[in-house]
Amino acid sequence: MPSLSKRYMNWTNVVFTPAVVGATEIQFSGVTSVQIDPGGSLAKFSGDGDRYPTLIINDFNEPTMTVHTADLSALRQCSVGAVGTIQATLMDARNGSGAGAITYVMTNAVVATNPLKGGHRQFGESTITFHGYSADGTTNPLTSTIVGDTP
Amino acid sequence: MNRTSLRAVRVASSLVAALDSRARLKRLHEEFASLLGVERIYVRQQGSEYFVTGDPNDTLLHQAHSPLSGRPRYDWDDQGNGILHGYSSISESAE
Repeated sequence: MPSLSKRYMNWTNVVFTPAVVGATEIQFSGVTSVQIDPGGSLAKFSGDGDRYPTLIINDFNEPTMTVHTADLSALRQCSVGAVGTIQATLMDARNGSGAGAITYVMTNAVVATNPLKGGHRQFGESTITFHGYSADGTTNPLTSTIVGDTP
Repeated sequence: MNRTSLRAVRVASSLVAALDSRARLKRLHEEFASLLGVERIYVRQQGSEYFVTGDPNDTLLHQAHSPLSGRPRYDWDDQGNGILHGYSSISESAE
């Protein structure tokens, strides 16, 4: 088995599974980019004669996953407000989706925006953004995992 | 404490801080997948620690719609080395 490259390239298995009984998963093809953002924000304190913050903390997180895809038929199945689980596998540059790949999963993912665009002599593309909420207000909805039997 | 099988683990991020993301996942998988009895572990960053379970839908607390909302889902057993083992709490078992 080839050694791990420790570098990553391209995405596969980009899937949105709606949280509706009987709903089928929506597989995105033609994915050109995926962005995963933990969405941390900072609260800064200053008072009295301070000219600079005297305390900065990360007080809140709003994680997002954004999928750029040419699969406009999949896009049509993702209406704003739809809730489900979005996952995407970032492939190892040498081994593809095998050893070294990392799968990111965001539960309680809500379709936030789904615009599409198409320009002259350009492929039509959509950018779908999912916002994740926490079921208990504490647990990060963004997880990562690997296939177990990899070196 | 209603001691059932291990359901979750919390790991101080400092224990795996020197590793890149892939190596960190591999280390956590090797350490905890068999302990948790799962094929895959799902790892969440929770501030200065990682919350590890076998299901991406697991939560630290009872969910907002639950009558037990805000209460812990696990009884945590501190291993003294930056690792806490989580067992189903009595309230979790009763729910």
